[in-house]
Amino acid sequence: MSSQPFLIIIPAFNEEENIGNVLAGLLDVGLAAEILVVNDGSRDRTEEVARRYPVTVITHPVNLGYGAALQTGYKYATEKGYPYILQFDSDGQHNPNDLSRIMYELQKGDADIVMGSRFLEESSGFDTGFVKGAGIRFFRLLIQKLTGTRITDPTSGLRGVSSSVFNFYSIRDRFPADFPDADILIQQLLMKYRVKEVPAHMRQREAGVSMHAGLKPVIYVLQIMLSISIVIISHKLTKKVS
Amino acid sequence: MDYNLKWFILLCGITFSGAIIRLLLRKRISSRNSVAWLLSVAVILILSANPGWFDRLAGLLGVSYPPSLLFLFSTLVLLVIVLYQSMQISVLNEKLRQLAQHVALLDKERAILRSGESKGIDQDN
Repeated sequence: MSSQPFLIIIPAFNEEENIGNVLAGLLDVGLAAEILVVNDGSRDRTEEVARRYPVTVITHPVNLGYGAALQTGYKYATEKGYPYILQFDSDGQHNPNDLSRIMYELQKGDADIVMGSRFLEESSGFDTGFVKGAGIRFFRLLIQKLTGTRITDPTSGLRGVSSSVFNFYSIRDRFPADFPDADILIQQLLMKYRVKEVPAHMRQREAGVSMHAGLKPVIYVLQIMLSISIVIISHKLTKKVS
Repeated sequence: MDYNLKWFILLCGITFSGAIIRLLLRKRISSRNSVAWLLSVAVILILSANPGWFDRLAGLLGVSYPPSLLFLFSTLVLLVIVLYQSMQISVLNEKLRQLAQHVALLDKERAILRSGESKGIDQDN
């Protein structure tokens, strides 16, 4: 059994330039949480830098993808019996000061998933860029049409998740290996998990290459649309059977 | 294009996309891999729904028998998909090799730890 109720999961791939600052920032805030870095087969010194800090480091021998790294964290949290996990990016975009609000909301017990949103406060000042901004607006609309819930920042990776959710996704093929996106969020809403958003302040990447870099956006959107269709069909079929 | 051929192609396309959706639902194929298949099915379906386009394209390319253009396209699509799969297999082979080496090294480490433990127990006795 874990000594702290929260585990901060940080999936990291080739983030030697950012991971040190991210961990130092988190430790400075002094949250009642343990930290797990899942080094996803990095080819640089990510693991070496992370091991300099009082955190747990798990290393994949090969690169398996962001979703797989997150699922390794879920499996670890399930095994150690953590009631809550916090997902935090290793690229320096997330602000450690936003975590206490997410922790508070999770412990209050009226949400299973608490998401940090860049768009709940006008003053967040985050510039998403035209293409990503259009993508966010599209998925926001789609999620609202399909589930009736308004999520202002569906692509936010800053999340707090309770054990009822991550225990479910820690099992084999329930979680995508590459990147869990709007499809998983729609599935969670259809499964009646309670999702809440809180304001968050995110920075632009500090260094290195974004995990979205190099992805062909058209194929990516097609893939997500296909995954969403499969989520909807699966949900309808399950409803029919039950 | 022959009317029967049009319907046959349409039927094949629908059956094939149904099979892919079924595989996706049963998690036997990833959405990333199935996008290429579904896109090629969509192209075939669009062409079969608009045989006029096909005839015009065949005329442009100098193909005297338009349905043979279908074979050319399907061969090209299969070629691209097979090439993509070969790349995937190469990546997976490399990952598997690294995983096997990692497990072998861990096994060796575990054996050393075990022998150290048993020596410790012998000394205690």
